[in-house]
Amino acid sequence: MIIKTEHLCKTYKIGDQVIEAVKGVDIEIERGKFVSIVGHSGSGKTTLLSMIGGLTRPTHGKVYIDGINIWNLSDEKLSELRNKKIGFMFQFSSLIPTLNAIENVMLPVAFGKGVSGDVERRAKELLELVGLGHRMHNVPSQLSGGEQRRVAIARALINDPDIILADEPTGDLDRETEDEVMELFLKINRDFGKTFVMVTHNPELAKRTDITLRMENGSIIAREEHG
Amino acid sequence: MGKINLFYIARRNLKRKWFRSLALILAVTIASGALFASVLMMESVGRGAEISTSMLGADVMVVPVGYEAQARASLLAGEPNKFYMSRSVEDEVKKVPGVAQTSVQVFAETAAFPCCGFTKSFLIGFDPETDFTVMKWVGESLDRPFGKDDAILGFSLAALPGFKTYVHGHELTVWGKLRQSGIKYFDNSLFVPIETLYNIAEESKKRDEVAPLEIERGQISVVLVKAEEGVSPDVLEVRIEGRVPGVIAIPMPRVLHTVRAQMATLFGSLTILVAVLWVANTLMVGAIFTTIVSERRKELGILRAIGANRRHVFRLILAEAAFLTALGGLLGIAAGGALFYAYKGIVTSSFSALKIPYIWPTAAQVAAISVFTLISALAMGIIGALYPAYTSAKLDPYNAIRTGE
Ligand SMILES: Nc1ncnc2c1ncn2[C@@H]1O[C@H](COP(=O)(O)OP(=O)(O)OP(=O)(O)O)[C@@H](O)[C@H]1O
Ligand SMILES: [Mg+2]
Repeated sequence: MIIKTEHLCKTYKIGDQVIEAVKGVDIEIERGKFVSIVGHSGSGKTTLLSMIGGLTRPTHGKVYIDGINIWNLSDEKLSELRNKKIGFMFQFSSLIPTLNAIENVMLPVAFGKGVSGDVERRAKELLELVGLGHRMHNVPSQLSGGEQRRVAIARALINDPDIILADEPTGDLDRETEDEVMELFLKINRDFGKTFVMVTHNPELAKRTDITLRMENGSIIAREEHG
Repeated sequence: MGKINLFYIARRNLKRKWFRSLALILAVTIASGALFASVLMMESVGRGAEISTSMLGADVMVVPVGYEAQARASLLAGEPNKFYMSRSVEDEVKKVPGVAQTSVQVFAETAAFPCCGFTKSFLIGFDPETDFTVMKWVGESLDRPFGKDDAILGFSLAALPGFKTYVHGHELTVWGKLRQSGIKYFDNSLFVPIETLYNIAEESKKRDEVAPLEIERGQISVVLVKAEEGVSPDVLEVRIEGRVPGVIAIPMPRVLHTVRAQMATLFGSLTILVAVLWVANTLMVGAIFTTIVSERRKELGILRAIGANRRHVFRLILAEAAFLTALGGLLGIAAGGALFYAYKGIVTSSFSALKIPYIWPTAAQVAAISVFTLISALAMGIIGALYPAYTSAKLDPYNAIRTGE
């Protein structure tokens, strides 16, 4: 199991109000699988993904990545794990506005220990893979929303992570672009054996993944395997 | 590669809000410039005062009663006043217990001598036999012992060793020149052996074609006293005044103290101003960087998500602040230095008007003050940005990323 959670919970306290965003989630994801998470807005998908990815500490429960209890790690070790093992794609544009496309793609390398190989060449290859070989030196404000998404995809792949966590990566794209991006994900999943966990509102996309988890009110209420 | 690192990101961020960055740099420039210029000035004055007193090498200066103020003025502001007493005073002073060494000087007159263009110089007779204040400050000199028809020139006087000069018709050879002291008493003086000076005075009164030099053989102006080990100048002051009638003994540390007091009043407000500027800038850095990090919360969250740890974020913020203030510091040093040197003349003349000895700092001193200014500018950035850097390092990445969603 590359990802495993044990009774994962997250509650927020705002004044007297207690919001249980995630309530006791137990999931196991095998290496190389493409998992989708669906559910209504506010059902806790982003919160779950963030706890798995080491971005927000669970109130209860554990997250294992490759057998490592990640919330027991020091900040330094956890950051290193995010850097090396996990590629994030967010619900919104997440590029650094002051850096151009290729610099954004190379950015994760700046925080890693021991730079390996020719990072610039790899960044170029990834930008070509996402079809942006010709926009490498544009800053985010000069790119369309879809193009920014694709730069973020290239960035998520730069450190060759085992796991890609994608939160509605195609949320605001038109159907055609959404299809292209999905094709790209499936190709990366197939060809490089990367494990994908993707939140989506689009049932069509969910159907094309290996497993779909359905969330409601902070719990997983169904698990569907697709042939 | 190596192109994308914390410093690169920091620089890009600063460029993005160039006006804000520029404003901050200029504020730091002003503070650093003020700091640099005032420390430079204080050092110069401090050095001037130190040299002017330590240079004399004397612990106590004995002058005729009633001339204490004039003596101080001569010593520190270089305004030789004429006051005389009998040379026999030296013998009496010598007998006072605790006195190790004495030497006499006579302040003869103020005039422009042929050696030295139109510079007003002070003709002073000193006793080469017993001297312990003049000879040791000789810089360059002729390669032979000091003779009876030789003169020693202060630093500000133009002639070089080997030149000839005339004092009331008497030919003298410039034997040596003193190092710079910052006090006119030394820098503008023409030191001549006291016996030679008495002879010149006598000769000048006999000859019609030269103006008379109005001193009498056996007249002196001051007795310079060196105390024995362990005897304080203050003790000596009391003893001398008790045993030798008609004189005032001025302990040298008190002279130094007067200069220090003058400096303190002069620079007290300047120091406060610079300190206030420093604190204000540090607080401003704090305020600006608090805005910067709250503006960039989301970005910082993204950096954390892609692998930045707390220390990376902390360092990124500090690097941005330090970069700006260091730049301001460098500009401040350049601006402060330029201003200082541009007004060199005014600075020097206003100090001499205030009767404060003043010496231009050496290159090594200027370098040290520059380093000090740069460090204090860096400190403004680092200390100012410490709290915002700390809070941004503590951010929960997920919450930071959600900002503005
Ligand atoms: N930092 C927070 N403070 C308080 N409440 C929060 C916080 N983060 C999330 N929540 C709440 O937790 C619940 C789950 O939020 P989450 O963002 O995980 O939902 P989601 O399934 O991703 O929704 P969407 O599909 O709209 O993105 C929501 O009710 C939300 O308001
Ligand atoms: Mg969400």
